[in-house]
Formats: sequence, C-alpha cells, structure tokens
Amino acid sequence: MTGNSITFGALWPLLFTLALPLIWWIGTQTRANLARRHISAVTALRCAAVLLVAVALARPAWHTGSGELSVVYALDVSGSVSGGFVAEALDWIDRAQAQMPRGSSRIVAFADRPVVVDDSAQVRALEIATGPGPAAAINRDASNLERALDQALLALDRERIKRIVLLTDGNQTAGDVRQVLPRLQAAGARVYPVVARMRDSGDVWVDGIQLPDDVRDGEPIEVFVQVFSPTETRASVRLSRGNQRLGARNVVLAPGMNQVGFEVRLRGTGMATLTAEVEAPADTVAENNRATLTAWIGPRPRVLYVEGQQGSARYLREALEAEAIEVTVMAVSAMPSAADGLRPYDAVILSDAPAKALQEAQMRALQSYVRDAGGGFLFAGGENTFGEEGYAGSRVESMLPVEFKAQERRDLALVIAIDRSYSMRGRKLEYAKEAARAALDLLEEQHRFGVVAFDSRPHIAVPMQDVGSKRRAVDQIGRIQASGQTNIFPALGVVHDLLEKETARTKHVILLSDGETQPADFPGLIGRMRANGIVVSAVTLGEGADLDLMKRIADLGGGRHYVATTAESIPQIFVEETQKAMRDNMVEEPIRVVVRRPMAALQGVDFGAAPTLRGHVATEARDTAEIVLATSAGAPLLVRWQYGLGKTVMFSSDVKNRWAVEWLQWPGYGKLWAQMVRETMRRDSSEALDFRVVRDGEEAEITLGMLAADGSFRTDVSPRAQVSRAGQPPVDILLRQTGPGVYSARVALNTDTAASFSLLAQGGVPTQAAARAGVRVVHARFADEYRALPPNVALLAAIAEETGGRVGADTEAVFAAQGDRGQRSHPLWPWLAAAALLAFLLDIFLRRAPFAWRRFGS
Amino acid sequence: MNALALLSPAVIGVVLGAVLLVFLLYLLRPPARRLLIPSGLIWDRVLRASRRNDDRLRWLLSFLLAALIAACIAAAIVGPSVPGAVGTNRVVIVLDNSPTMATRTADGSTRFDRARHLAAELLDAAAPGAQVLLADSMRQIAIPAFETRDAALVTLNRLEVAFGQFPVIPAPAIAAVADARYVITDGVQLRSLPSGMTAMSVFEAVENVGITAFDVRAVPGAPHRYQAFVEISNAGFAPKAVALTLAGIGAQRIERILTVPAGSASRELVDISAFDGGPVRASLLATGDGFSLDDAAYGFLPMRRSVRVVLVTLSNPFLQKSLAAQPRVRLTVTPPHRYTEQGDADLYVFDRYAPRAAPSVPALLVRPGRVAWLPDLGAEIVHPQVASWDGSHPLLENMSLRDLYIEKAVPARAQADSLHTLVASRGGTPLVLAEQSGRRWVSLAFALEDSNFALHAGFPVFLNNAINWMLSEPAVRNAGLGEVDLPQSTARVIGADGVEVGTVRIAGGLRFHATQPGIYTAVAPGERTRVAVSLLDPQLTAVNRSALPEASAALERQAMRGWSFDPWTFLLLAALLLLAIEWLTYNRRLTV
Repeated sequence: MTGNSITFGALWPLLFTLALPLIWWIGTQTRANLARRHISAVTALRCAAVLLVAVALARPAWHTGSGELSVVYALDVSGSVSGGFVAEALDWIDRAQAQMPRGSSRIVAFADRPVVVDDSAQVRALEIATGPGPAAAINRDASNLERALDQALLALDRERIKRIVLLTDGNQTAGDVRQVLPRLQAAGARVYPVVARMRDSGDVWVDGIQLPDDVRDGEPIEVFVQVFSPTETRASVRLSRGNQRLGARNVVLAPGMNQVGFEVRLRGTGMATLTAEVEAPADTVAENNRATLTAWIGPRPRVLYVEGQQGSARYLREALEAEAIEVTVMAVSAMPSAADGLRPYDAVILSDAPAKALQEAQMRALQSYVRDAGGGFLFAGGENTFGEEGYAGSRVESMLPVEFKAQERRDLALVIAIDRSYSMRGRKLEYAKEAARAALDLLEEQHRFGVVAFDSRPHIAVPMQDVGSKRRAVDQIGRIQASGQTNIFPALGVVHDLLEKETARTKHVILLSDGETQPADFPGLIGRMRANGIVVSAVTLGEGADLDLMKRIADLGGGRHYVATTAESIPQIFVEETQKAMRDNMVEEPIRVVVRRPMAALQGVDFGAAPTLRGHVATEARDTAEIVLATSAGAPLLVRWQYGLGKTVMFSSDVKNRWAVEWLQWPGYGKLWAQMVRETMRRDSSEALDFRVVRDGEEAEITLGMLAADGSFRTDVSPRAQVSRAGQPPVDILLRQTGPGVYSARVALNTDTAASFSLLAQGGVPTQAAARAGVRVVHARFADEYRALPPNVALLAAIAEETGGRVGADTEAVFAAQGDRGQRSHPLWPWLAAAALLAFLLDIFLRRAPFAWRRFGS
Repeated sequence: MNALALLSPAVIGVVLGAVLLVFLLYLLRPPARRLLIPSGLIWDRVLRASRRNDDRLRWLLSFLLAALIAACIAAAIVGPSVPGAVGTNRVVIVLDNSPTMATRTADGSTRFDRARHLAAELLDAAAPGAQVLLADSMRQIAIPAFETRDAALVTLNRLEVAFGQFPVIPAPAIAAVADARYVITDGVQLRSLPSGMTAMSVFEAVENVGITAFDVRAVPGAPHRYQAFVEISNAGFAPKAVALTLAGIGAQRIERILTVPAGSASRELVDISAFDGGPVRASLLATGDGFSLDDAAYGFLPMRRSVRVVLVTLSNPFLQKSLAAQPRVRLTVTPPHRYTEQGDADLYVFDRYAPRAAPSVPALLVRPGRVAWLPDLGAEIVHPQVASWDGSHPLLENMSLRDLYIEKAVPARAQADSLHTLVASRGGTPLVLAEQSGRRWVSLAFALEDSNFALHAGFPVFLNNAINWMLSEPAVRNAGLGEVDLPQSTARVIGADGVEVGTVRIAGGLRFHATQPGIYTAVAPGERTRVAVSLLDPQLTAVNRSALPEASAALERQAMRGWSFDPWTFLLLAALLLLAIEWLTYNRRLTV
C-alpha cells in the first residue's frame, strides 16, 4: 500500500448513521419555537455531529505516502578505526543532519555491541572501553556489523523512507553481517557505507605462529612467524620458548603478510609454548606485537635399523641419534616376523641385508607394516644385496620403487683355475675341461679369458686373451692332462699375476680343486687380489677336498663357494658362476651424486660438496617412482614412492664404510639420512587417532577421529576431553559422535585466559592413545580489532549493492528518495470527534444565540 | 497519541474547558417568541410566573446533557486510560517461532498453531484502538513497530516457524514503552526472558525420537566401502521402538528395528557399500512422534557412472595407465594426427597437444600448444617453484602440492575473468588454470615428464577431481534447516519436492531458505550443487526440555480477560447516545 487510502478499524459503528433520518425526522417534528430554516440548520448540525461520532467510532485511518526520511547513522567506534575518523564522522553526521529534509534520525554507535542514541553529543558522551569494561561500556575490541545493522534496522521508523549510513572499515570480527541482509532487503532499508580510515598506517603485528602438524623431540623444524605490515619497514622478529631465545631475525617486511622463518629444534616431549614478538620503528600499538602458540612435542621418532653387517651399523646409528632419532639396531635374524612387532617403530631401515637371510615371514611383516600400517621403509644397498643374495623377484622388491635389474658387464676378465692333480684324472678332469669350455662359450667377444691348470705347480693352459677366437682356447683346454699333487697357492699367485695386469673392471676367478693343498698365506694373497678388484669363487669337488679352505678362499675372495658332489655337476656350476660374473648388479666405481628432483628432505644438504660414493647396486626405477638422486651416469640412486599407506625409499648405494666411506665424514651425511627418515616415517596423520582443537571465533571445536587397527571406524568409544583453565578446576566434556569414527564437542573460550585440552583415557580410549594424543592449548589472543587490516571495501560494496545503497555516497544521495516512499497512517477519529464536538457546540450556539434567532427569523 | 490517565489534569482540563464552553453557550438567552393573545397583560403575568420555575429546570437539564456530551467527546479526544487496566493502549506480543514450535501436540496442532491462536486471542481481547507491537523470535518481522490490532492480526497470520538462527526477543519488544508485554513460547529455546515480560506457555510434552547425527564416509582401510553413521535420540519419556530405514537412489534399502531408551540415544554404523552413488536418505518411523523435522536426514554417496575419456597423445603410458586406473573411466587412446571429435566422448585429455577448435565436451590439457581458443602462452620458464595453490577448489580437494617439482613450464600469459588459477608460482604465474564458465577445461602449463606431479600420491586424486569437476558432477554439501548460502551468484534452487525455491543475492552469493529436510539442487550455468539439508541438532530434538511449565497458558488467558477496555470508545458511544437523547428532549421541548 503506497498510495493514499483510508481504512476503518471497525465497520459496525457506521450502523449508527442509520439513525440520521430519524434525527432529521425528529427535527421536522420539533416543538421548539424555531423557524423552519432555523431548525433545519440546527438539525443539519446535529446530524453532522452524530455522523462524525459514528465515523470516529469506526476508527478510520488515513494512509498517506510519505517522503519523510528515517535515517540511522551506524558509526563504528571499534579499535580498528582511527579516533580521528570517529570525530570526523560525528562532524559529518552533524552537517548531514543540517541538510536533511523532513524526517527523523538516530545514531547507532557500535563496536562489540550497538548503542542507540539521538545525537552526536550523546555519542561523544558514551563510555567506550578497551577490553571487557563496565557493563554499560562499549568494548572496542570487536566489530559486530551484524548487530549494528540489526539495531540500526530496528531504530528506523517503519513508516518512513529508510536509510542507514554505515560508517565503518568493514572489518567485522564478530557476527556475520550477511545474516541481517535479508531483513534489510525485506524492510527496504538502503545502506550507504562510508569507508573508515585505518587506525594507524604504520602498525605492525604478529598474526600467528605456524608449526608443522607433527613435531617430534629434537626434530629440526621450520617455525614461521606471520607478521603483517601495512608498509615496507624494518623489523626485529624474535621467537622464544619460555625464557629460552630460539631465534631473532632482523628483516625487512614487505607490505602485507610476511612469513619469517626460524629453524629450530624443540627438545623434550610434551607441551612447548612458543612466543613470537615483533618490533618495528613505526609501530604504534603494542597489544598486537606478540603471539603465543603451544605445540605438542611428540617423542623422538623410533627407527628399527636392520643391518646386514652388524659391525658397520654404528655410522648411521650415530648419525641418526645425533639428529634426535631413536635408533634400535638389530640383526637380520632378529627382525620381527610379525607386523605387530614393527608397529612401535616409525620407520624401518634395511641395510645391506642378504635377501636369503630374511625369512618370508619377516618380509611379509615388513610389507604389512608399510602397506597397511603406513610405516616408513628405507632400503639401503650394499655388497650383500646384489647377485645371488639380491632381492630380484622378492616380496621386498615389490615394495621398493625400483627393480633389481642385473646389467651385462662389458669388460670382464675371467680366469679359470683347474686342479689337474692326479686325483682329477679321468671323468673329473674331463668334466672340468668341459666346464671351462662351457664358460668360454658364454663369454662375449669383448671379454678376456684365461685358464691356469695346476698341480704342485701352476701351468698357464690358456694365456689371457680376448675371447674373439674361441677355437684356439678350446684346443688349449683340451690339452690339459692330469699329473702331480695339488698346490693351490702358487696357482692363485699366477692367476693374480695374470689378472693384475688386466684393465677390465670385473676380474673374476673360478677355482676348482678336489684335493688338499699345502698350507700357505692365503689371506695375504687373496687380500692383495681383492685390493686389485679380483673376485675369487671356489668350487670344491668331492669329499677329499679341503672344504673349509675352499670356502674360506671364496669368502676372502668376495666370491661364492660351490660344492660339486659329482663331476657331472661341474659344468653347470661353471656356467652359473660365469653367468653371475658376466651379469652382476653391483657397480663398484666412483659415483658422483646428481640431484634429479629437489624435495623437502634434501633441503640444506649441499650435494655440490658431497664426496663420491664407491659403488651401488644397479636398479631400474619403476614407472611411478620418483628418482630423487641419480649417479652421474644416470642410474637411479635414491628413489622413493608411495606403497599403500606408507612410503618406501631405496638407496642403491650403502650407508656405511664400504661404498659410502667418504660420506661418513661429510656433514651432509647425518642431515640427509635424518631428513629422509623423517620424510619417510609414519606420521600421526596416518594413525588411528586424530585429536584436534581448533579455535572457531569465541569457541574451541574439539574433534577426535578414531580408527581401528584395520582402518575401520571406531564407534564403540565414549571419549571425554578435559578442559583446563588457569585458576579454575578442570572440566570434563563428553565428545559426541557425529560421524563414522568422528567425535566432537564445542567449548566456549575465555578472551583473557588460555585453555588446554587433553584426551582422557576413559570410555574406551586406551591410555597409550590418550597419551599420544597429547595436550592442545588455545591461547588468549589479542583482539582481532588490533589487526589493522585495510578497509574491507568489497564487503561494504556488497552490502550496499544488496540493499540498493552506494559506497561513499554523499548526503545528497543518501537523502534522495530514489523512488522510495514511506507510508504513514494517521488515525482520523480524534479529528472527527473534535469536529463532532464543534458541530455540537455550533448546534447549541444556533439554538441559543439571539443573533441566530434573528438571522433565521425565528 | 499517548494514553492519559482518566483523571489526569489534562483530561480534567479539557473536559472542564468543554463544559465551560457549553455553560457559556447556555448563558445565552434565546429571545421569546411574541404571541398575540387577548388580555395579554394578565396572561402575560400568569405565564411569566408559571414559566420561570419550569424553564430553569429545563435549562438545567439541557445544560447538563450538553455539558455531558461535550465532556465525553472532549475526554475521548484526549485519549484517557484507566490506571491498572492491562494493555489498555500499547501491548507487546512476542511470538516464538523457533523450530521446536513445530512440535505437534496431542490435538494434532503444533505449538506454533497454539501460539498463534493465543496471540489472536490476545488481539481479540485488546481494546479496539489498542496499539500492538508484534515481534517474533526468529526475526521474520524485520522492523517490529506498534500498529493497530487489525494490522497486527494480518502480520500474525504471515508468521511461520523459521530455522537457521538462534531465537531472541527483538530489541524493540524490550525497549518499547508499553502497558504489557507477552512472550508466547514453548520455553525450549527461549529459556529466559527479560524482566517485565510475561511468558505464556504453549508447551506440551510429547513423544519424540529424531535423527541427531548422520554422516556417510568411505572406510579408510577399504576406500571402496562406505559406511553411514546414524544417531537416533529419544527425547520422550519411555523407551521407543523405532524403524530405521536407509535408502539409496536405486532400490537399495536397509531397515533396522531399534529400541531407543528414554532420554538416551542409539548409534548405528551401517554398511552401504552396495548403494549406488547419489543421495542417501535415513529416515525413522515411530508411533506418536511429535516432531517430524528430525525424522529424516540426507547424505550423499559419490557418483559411480562410467565416463568415456579419450586420451589424445603420441605416447604417454603413464598417463594412460593412470586414467585407465580411474574406476569410472572407459579410456580410448588416439594419436593427435588422428584426432577428430568423437560424438560419444564425455571428456578429452590432450597430452602436449591442443586441437585447433575447442572440443564440445570438457578437456584436460597437459602442456597444450598455442591455439586460439586457449589463453595465449608466455615464454618458457625453468624450475618454477610452486608458491600457492587453491586447496579449497574442488580440483585440488584432498591434495597437497608441497613437493611438486617442475623442470619447465609454458604458462598462459593473459587471463580472462572466468579463468581460475589453481596453482601459481612465485609472482603469480599460473601453472594450473581452470576455465570455470561455459565448457570447462583444465590446463597444466607443464608436461608430466617435466615434473613429478604424476608421481605424487595425489595425482590419481587430481585426475578423479578433474573428471568430476569438468563433468559437472554435482558438488555436494551438507547444511542445516534455515538459511543456506551458495557461492553461485546466479542459480535456480530446486527443492526436495521439485518446486523452485526463492533465492536472494547475498554478498556475491545466493541464499535460500530450507524449510524441510531433503536434497536441494542449485542449478547454475555449467554446474550443479546438491545440498543435503538435515536438522541434526540434539538441542532441537529435545523438544521437551522446556523452561516453562505446562498449562500456564490457561492462567495467562484468564488474566487477559479483564483488559479489554477502551475509554474513548465508550466515551464516544456515550456521547452518541446523549446526542440522540438531547436532540429528542429538545425537539419535544423537554429541554431548551
């Protein structure tokens, strides 16, 4: 209803008008001494009086369109706007009032809550406090635009054109202004935001402290202090833990949010409260220069280090322990054969462990630990992980991001030393010669080959030569005849002489003997051979041989030992051994490390200064694996991937004093492996318990996620959290299940005291789980008002747009009707009653005044 | 017009003034009419003698009547009130329309029906000219103000139960100067009232069981399995047998019969792995249930329909394997030189290639070349570092790009408004772009072999997200009853009953009012959003947790009987009557 109209509150009183003819008739039948004209006039007046009273009883109301304005000025007096702006705004309101056409106005001064006053003088007299002050005072520590606009809406005159002038910076710190927009729209109230100036342009504040989710005792972490500066300025940022200074940095802050990083190690487990402070020359507000955060420091990572060569375990163990990682060294045989035995560890390192030494159950446990329990697994190569002892095709290989692919050796020098003593005559020697021929047949043209036949003295049956012409060598092998006693030592000496001169990278000896030899300095000789890169494998034929010596020769020579129970098996053994010698996945050569993919675990490790490695196991990275480090020849060296819920890393060199002997002195050694362990190990986020406390405005939201060991949801618990505040007894709160395995609760926070939250070992929550969940602390923080953010013009523009107003409008725009019309209702009955009274009095006057008698001729 | 006390000086003054005026008028002496009669002198004397006493009496009676008429009208005009008479002129009535007021009582009506009826009774009982300020606890009345009784009745009939906010007594209802203030409530959510307000209870205890928690999740240990958690609370006074039904979009249906102890809750974990993707409805059936809004709750299972994807590449076995490994994908691979748009493809993946014309279906582009329909490309950059990514975007949901390493990239140079940068390097150079409007596409500025993106554990997640987003699989979100905000600036919202729901634009987004639990669908150009609306509030299910006693309404109603009194109406009625009497007596010459 926007036009003019009249409505009646009740219609029944109009029935009284039916009496008007009667009144008229009574007038015509009067006995009064009045002339006809006179009585007619009096009757008319009486009818009018009755009519007016009857209509008045019907409560008529006159509704008119109104161009009158109802204006409410909502003035932000919170801490985020400058005091100068408030004074200017009040002056502006006074000037606006002077220009305002017809209408009414009020002022809503607001910060945490609105207060309605009639004029600017009352605003100046308002009690405005910083922080919780007297009950009557407005608290400057918050801006609640929702309540302000709501109150402004209620302060408007419903019957007039409605205008709200919102003088604010638009940075709401409480409430949600969007909640009130529908009401503003429904009421047709246009909002005209006037953007307030920021409080202080030079104010710098600490916005917060950021820590990694899972922090462990002694772990090197990067703590970021978030510092906001409106301008470019120099500042000093300090980070401390209690009285201990963790770091201080002088930085140049860029305009906006800055991240100032500190590399720190937080020692000890439990709560660690960090305080960040900033000092800047132009800073004006001290309240916002400090932020506090309490982190829960978990225990040191526990790593199970399974080392194939126990004596070499100390290098990596010491390096990891120096980096605050708890290491349990274990022999391969002692490694748990059930996944539960591995669960206490955050990661498992398997180093240079022969595949044959690992039982199937141990491999299965390791696989389950990584795939199903999210455990970390680092596999380091070594001399025991290649060749026959390699992991090709094993369960462990399936977990790794690489496949063990043997490579064909391009340069191999093979010498076969055959015992031709008298005991070998006949079938044995013939099979030995056949074996030598078979070995020769396997070799490629580029390989070199020689045969030494020995009895008490060595005899070069086939001189070292390229394999190019096999016929001649075959003939020479065929001429070997049995004679004399067995004497291995001089034969090995000749073999050494032959191979010492060879330039091939792989020099291999296959020694065949069936008898006992004279004692000699085998360790010395074989040691020299090993020093020259010569590998000696031994084949013991028959029961008369010195089995122990032959095995010892193979062990000392870095080769394999075979026992041929029959002469017929000799060729097969020779073929197998030759194939292994030809195709090996161990590469022993100086390796320069190349970074292929920078990753967080390599941060701070200077590979430019890294010494060379002396060898590695040849592997081939899988399609979906990530090669992090490679050899200068391009072979994968450090490769990682995700395996089930866990991560696995393969390092194809070793981590000890064989191939990585120079690395042991390199400063990056411990850092690299500690970071790799931390990168790979199981983190809390993948565990079955996730306890979080997040501030949500003036409340804390506690959330607990619980999974069973098999990854299913835990629904059989009634977890409780304990909330502790300084000076108050702790309060237990039941966490309500809100989803599969999800429990939550909300707790009100005090503005001035910190609250700590811990999970109680009750209601089905195991004690270990409660302990592991730790304590979360939500600190009191400075009010959001002290974040001198630039005005939120976007929000103010949205408010204006949604309500039909305009940002930064002048008074002319505010006061313009813009097609809006108010609607005023005027009750008419008092006027009608007054008119009735007047008619009645006139009636009496006409009846009694001599003048009227004369006038009407009565 | 402010009410004045009946015997206030102002009333007395105005009335006396009117009476004085009448008195002055009656001091006028109308001239006697001359009549010719015989022996006039004698008769004149006789007549004078007999008329003197009679005229005085008539004058007096006449004056009294006129004075009374004038006094009544004058008194009515100044609007007197009777001290102690409740609500004579200004009454405040606050109606609680919070969600628990939708509770049905024994007679089948809701608490809100009763409250409205009670408010109507109050209005009926009010004086005809009373000014009534009607307000509601959920602020449906934007600016409560005093109005006539009839206008208030119209406003009352427009009110309904509302959701989404915490109920309050609006400030004008507290601050207004009034003779009486009433709050009609069930006392469940409006538990304490400001001083000076009279509570009128419409509370009646009822039986109620409701769903207070409902959530659907994939089992972490078996990601293809889905479980639904349902909490059923019994707010009644006796154990209740409840039939719980979980229904999927297909014919899937799981039913369970539970007995929920009084004042307690039962929790159920139900395996719904066999359900098709789409809405899941949990509903319960119990006898005598008084509050129906909490009897159903909704969730959403990820869609499972197959998607025809065409990979256009010279060779990229890894990408091929990754796409083929997506559970919904039916993959076709074709080299770029054989590429022609296929009619049955749902989505294209272009690897280091971009067709001259934009495909008619969405596309994922990996290091595309320079073509007209894509943003122009800038110069190649080496080792760009990932500085930021939009984790809130559906494409990067559940992903971390902390370790993303890129050897080289060719980023787009210019950006249209509709393009969204998902991943940016330092300096804001876009590394992953998404076209949001019209036909969607996502473009990676780097080839997979030039980065470790494909080796990330999250890469399959990215592919899945990209497929879902580009094919406009409806985004899913949960909401409570009441106001629901949507990020879209323009969309049609279809309610659970298929009827379009009204929306309002709010700060760049949309808002609609959900009055019933159900699946609401927001349809915007190129995208759909499903909103699963459920009540899920234990505070609301506890409809018997009233701070007020039952049956206090009757007492209040009794107290209301006496305040229907309107002095000015009576005064005018009296004046009307006296006007008639005085007129009759005058014309019959009983008065002068």
